Amino acid sequence: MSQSLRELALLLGPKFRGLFRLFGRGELRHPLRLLFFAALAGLFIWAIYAGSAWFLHYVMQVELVGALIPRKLMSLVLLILISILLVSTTISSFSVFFLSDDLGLLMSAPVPIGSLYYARFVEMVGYSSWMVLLFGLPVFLAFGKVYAAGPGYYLALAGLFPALILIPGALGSIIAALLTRLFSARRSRDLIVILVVLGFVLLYLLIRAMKPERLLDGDSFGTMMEFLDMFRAPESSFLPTQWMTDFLFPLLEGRHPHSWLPALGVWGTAAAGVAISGWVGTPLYRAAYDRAQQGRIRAADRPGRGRLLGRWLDRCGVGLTGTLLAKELRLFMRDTNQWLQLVLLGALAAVYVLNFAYLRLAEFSWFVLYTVNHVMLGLVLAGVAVRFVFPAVSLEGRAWWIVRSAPVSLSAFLHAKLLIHLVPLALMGLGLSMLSCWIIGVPLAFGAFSAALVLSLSLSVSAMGVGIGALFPRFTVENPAKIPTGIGGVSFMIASMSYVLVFLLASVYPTMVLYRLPQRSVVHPGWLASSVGVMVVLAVLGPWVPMALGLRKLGRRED
Amino acid sequence: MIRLEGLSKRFGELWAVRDVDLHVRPGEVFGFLGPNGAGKTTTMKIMVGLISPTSGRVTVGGVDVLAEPIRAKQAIGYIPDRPYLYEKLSAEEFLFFVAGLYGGRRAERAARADELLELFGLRDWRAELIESFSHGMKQRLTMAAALLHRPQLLVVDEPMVGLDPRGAKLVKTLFRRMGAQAGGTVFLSTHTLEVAEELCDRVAILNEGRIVALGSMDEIRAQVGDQGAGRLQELFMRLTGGDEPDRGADEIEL
Repeated sequence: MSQSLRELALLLGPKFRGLFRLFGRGELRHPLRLLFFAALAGLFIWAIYAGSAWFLHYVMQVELVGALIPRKLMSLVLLILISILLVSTTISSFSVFFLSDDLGLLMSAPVPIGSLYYARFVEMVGYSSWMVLLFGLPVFLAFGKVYAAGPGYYLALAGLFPALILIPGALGSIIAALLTRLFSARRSRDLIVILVVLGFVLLYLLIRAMKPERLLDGDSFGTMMEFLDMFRAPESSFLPTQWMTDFLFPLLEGRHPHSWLPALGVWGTAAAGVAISGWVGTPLYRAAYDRAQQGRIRAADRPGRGRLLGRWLDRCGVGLTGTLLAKELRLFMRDTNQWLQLVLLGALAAVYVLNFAYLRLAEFSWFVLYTVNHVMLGLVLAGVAVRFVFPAVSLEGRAWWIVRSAPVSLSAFLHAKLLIHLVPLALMGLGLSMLSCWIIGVPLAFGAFSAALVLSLSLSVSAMGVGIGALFPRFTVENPAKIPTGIGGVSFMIASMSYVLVFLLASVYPTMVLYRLPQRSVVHPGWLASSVGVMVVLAVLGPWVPMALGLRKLGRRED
Repeated sequence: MIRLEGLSKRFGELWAVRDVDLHVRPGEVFGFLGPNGAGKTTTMKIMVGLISPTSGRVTVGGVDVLAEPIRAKQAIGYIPDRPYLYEKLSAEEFLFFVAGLYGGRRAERAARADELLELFGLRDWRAELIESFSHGMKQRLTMAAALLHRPQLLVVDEPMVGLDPRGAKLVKTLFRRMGAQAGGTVFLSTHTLEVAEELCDRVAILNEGRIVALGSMDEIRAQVGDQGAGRLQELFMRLTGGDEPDRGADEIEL
């Protein structure tokens, strides 16, 4: 083994050992927990595989153009994958190359900078691409199944996929190295995250405006060209994704590729990318790392995010809730990863309301839309809560000792957290409910009933978020977006979604009674009483049980 | 001021603290010494209500920490060994937050925060985010926060770690004044034996969760039966079974 390879293996050793220990001693050490997560991942992978196979079958049956679409689809999927990988590798590059805690030790050791750079490159590529690979590969396996492809296709897939990952990895690391010449690593990362989120929101709104649901109804297209336009992907003979499609597609159809040139092109680009990354990145690495350490950030120079509101709350002096609220607002507004989520949330709200405008035009009855609206709203509340409410307790982080050693009861602390998160969640739910009711055109009484349902659901979902978040706190996880990714977050999602569905199921009969009131239909008092009874019991137990469990668990924590 | 009665704490199979009985009087600066893993931090965390004992009782100013934690914590200021703070708050905002947890009027809080920022040399840094602070600055800010509500008891885990000589001198003066003039009690753990010798009225030496010596320096020398042992370091080594720590250091190739 050459000296460079030995150094690379030495530098990557601790990372691999840490990865294996995740199963041995980490969060996945319990066999049942491991089995649960494996089953969940397997379910997702199977769903992607089955969904892709079904969709391919469907489009291949479209007359005349059915045979053309899969090729365009493969090119499009490859382009989407490579774009996601490019974003992911660029963002990871800042953390892995410049902001990792172990860099201080490694930079001070007599390790050649080139070996360190490439060790970080391997780590960054692995870290940022495993998930894309895991959930992207089933799409290509579905292609193989639908076309009953031979082993040649799968071998080519296995041979070309590593190159597909290396190309955006190299490009991402080059972008990161060049950007750190202009800004600090932290600022560059924030800048990229902002651009990506804004781009994603724009793309999301554009796709929504194209009404992709029309794909399910071939007759809704005016012309064949319009239909084909839906699958338009930037096709260029200079794109590696196009070369990969050119090589894979003949194999998929059981033919030999015309030449090996496309495959050589893909691997050549990957190899050149890795070489250029090292050539550009290595000389810049030391200086960029030094820049990243100059973290003396003057608050006065920063935008006053959360400053004015926090000061106003400080002046008000409204007890524990006000104290915690002022702190939480400041921390939220100063963390780019956090406040940017509000942009996504705004886009989600806009799409939600727009959906009802489209569906109203499709001439569904208002009662059907009204019922669907509640189910969707409940699920949206659960989805928003897992990102914003569930991490509430964990976000105290390693500073948890400050609250714990202060003369503040845990009950008061948890209830303050609940109040702080309930208000925005309920306001969002109420806003969406009122807007959609107005678009659907429901009578006033139903609007009031909807508001009551949403308020009750908001309270229960918020309490579940805070309570289950306290049951599974993750004080050492520094990235707020990662807090819900553990067993606690999954438990919260299952519990809150089940609760929403059961609660709404119990509300069906009372809603029907309200709907039929003008027709003076027969009302079964027993059914009505039991439905209302179940709703009341759920409305009381929903918030109470998780808060009590969370309080008990948090009180027993020993750190 | 502090009374520990039969205090024990077990983590799984390991007894971190075992049958500790201790009484610290008001106005005393009390040192808690012991090798790494002796149970000092665990005992202090029980005292401030961060963790519960397996058995035994802790009272602060006559208030049971386990039975009435809120009342007990009103009287305590705690400075941990590692100053984990809210990194995205400024120094001033952090002090306001802590003051909010302890209650009190806003104007009073602001004046006190001002005074403490000045005292700990952080006035020019008041609007800076904590994430830009050095370890020593964070330690000084933690101390300012612990003194914000004028505690009767200050529990300090390793006070000198990360402080520059000026900061260390300031802290020593403060601790002495707190005991002598303000009638408060300081309970500190330290590995810097000179600090204990210089500051503490009495010390307890903890080894494997048990108190192996307790009293003033002279009393401990008498307990060990060696009036000639001049420095605390020699006594410490003898009491904690580390008589020959240098042997390996003498032999290893450097």
